[in-house]
Amino acid sequence: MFLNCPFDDLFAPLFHAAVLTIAALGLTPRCARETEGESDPRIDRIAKGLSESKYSIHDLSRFHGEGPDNLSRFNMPLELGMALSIRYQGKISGTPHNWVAMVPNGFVHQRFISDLAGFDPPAHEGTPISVIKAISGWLTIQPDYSPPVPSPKAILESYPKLVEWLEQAKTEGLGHLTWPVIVKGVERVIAAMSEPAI
Amino acid sequence: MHVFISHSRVNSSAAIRLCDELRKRTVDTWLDARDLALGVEWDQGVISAIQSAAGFVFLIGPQGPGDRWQTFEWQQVVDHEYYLDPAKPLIPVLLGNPDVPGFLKARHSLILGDTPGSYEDVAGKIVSALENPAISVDEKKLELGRQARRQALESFREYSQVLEEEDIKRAGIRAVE
Repeated sequence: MFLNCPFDDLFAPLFHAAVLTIAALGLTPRCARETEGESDPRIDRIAKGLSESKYSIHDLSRFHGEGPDNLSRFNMPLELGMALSIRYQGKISGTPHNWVAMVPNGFVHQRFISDLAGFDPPAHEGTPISVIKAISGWLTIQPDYSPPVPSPKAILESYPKLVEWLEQAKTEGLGHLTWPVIVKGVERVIAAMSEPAI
Repeated sequence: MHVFISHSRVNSSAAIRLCDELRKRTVDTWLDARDLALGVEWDQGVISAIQSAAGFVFLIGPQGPGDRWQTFEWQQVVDHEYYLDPAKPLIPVLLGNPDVPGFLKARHSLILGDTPGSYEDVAGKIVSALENPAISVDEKKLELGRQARRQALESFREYSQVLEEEDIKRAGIRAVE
C-alpha cells in the first residue's frame, strides 16, 4: 500500500502510526521515502511506487496555506490524481488499484476538494488513534481482505513500543530516521503482537 | 434487542421479504425503510440501531459493494469492532455472486435465491445463527486467513531485510566516494 502524506516532523507521529497500521493489517507499506537519495525525479519514483501498489492512501489534512507567503502544498492532491489515473488504467489492463483519501474531521473537505463528493472519505483528527482507525476501517471493508486482523485497539496498544524504538534509533542515527529504520522498527513491533482471534 | 438488516437500496424488496420471513419467526428486525423513526436523520438512526443490535444480517449483491449508504452501515460495524466479536452473529446473505467485504470473510455466507422456499430456508438458518453465534464463524476460512497473515508478515520481514541490505550498500558506496 502506497502512503502519500507529509514527511515532516509535525506529521511524523501520524506517519509512523499509518505505517504500523498498514503493516499490521498484512500489507507492505511503501512511500516516496523508500527511494530517497536516488537520482530519478521524485515524481517518477512516486508514479513507480503507486503503479506497483494495489492500494494507495492520500492524506489531505494539510489544506491550509503555510509560511509567510501563505502557500498551500499541492503534492498530495497531485499524487491522488495520479492514483485515480492508475485506477482507471488498471481497469483496462487488469492490474487493480484502489485509493482512499483521508481528510480532516468534519465537512471542510467538501469546500476545498468538492470533487470527492460521494466518496465519504475517512476522516482523522490529527492523532495517531484517529489515523489508525481511519486506515483500518477502510481496509477492513475491502473485498480482497481476509480476517483475522488486529483490531485498531491492538494496533494502538503497540504504537508506544514503536515510538520508543524509533526514538532510540533516531538518537543512534544522529537525529535522522531513514525509511529502512522505520520499517525495521515496525517489523519488530508487529512480530511481537499477539495473533488476533477473529 | 433487534437484528440490524443492512442492505443496498437496489435490494430493498429482497430486504423487506427477508424481514417478513424473520418476523414470522418472531425475530425483531430493524430495517431503515420500516423502522427509522419520523424526524430522525438517517445516519443517526442507523448508528443508534447498529449500536443496540444483537446481531447483523448483511444483504449483499448482486453487484456487491458500491452503495455508499450500505458502506456507511458496514463502516459503523467495523468502527465499533463488532466484527471482532465471535459472540456477535454477523450473517452475510448473498444475492448472486457478489464480492463480500473483508470483515465478513470469516463468516458463513447464506445464498438467497428468488423463490419463497429460499427465503424460508435462509430465514431459518439466520434464526439458528442468532441462537448460536459461533456457527456463523467459518473456521476453515479463518484458518486460511491466518496462513495468509503469516505469509504477509514473512514477506514484510523480507522487505525490511532487503531495505536494510540496500541501505548498508549505499552507505558503503558513500564512504568509498
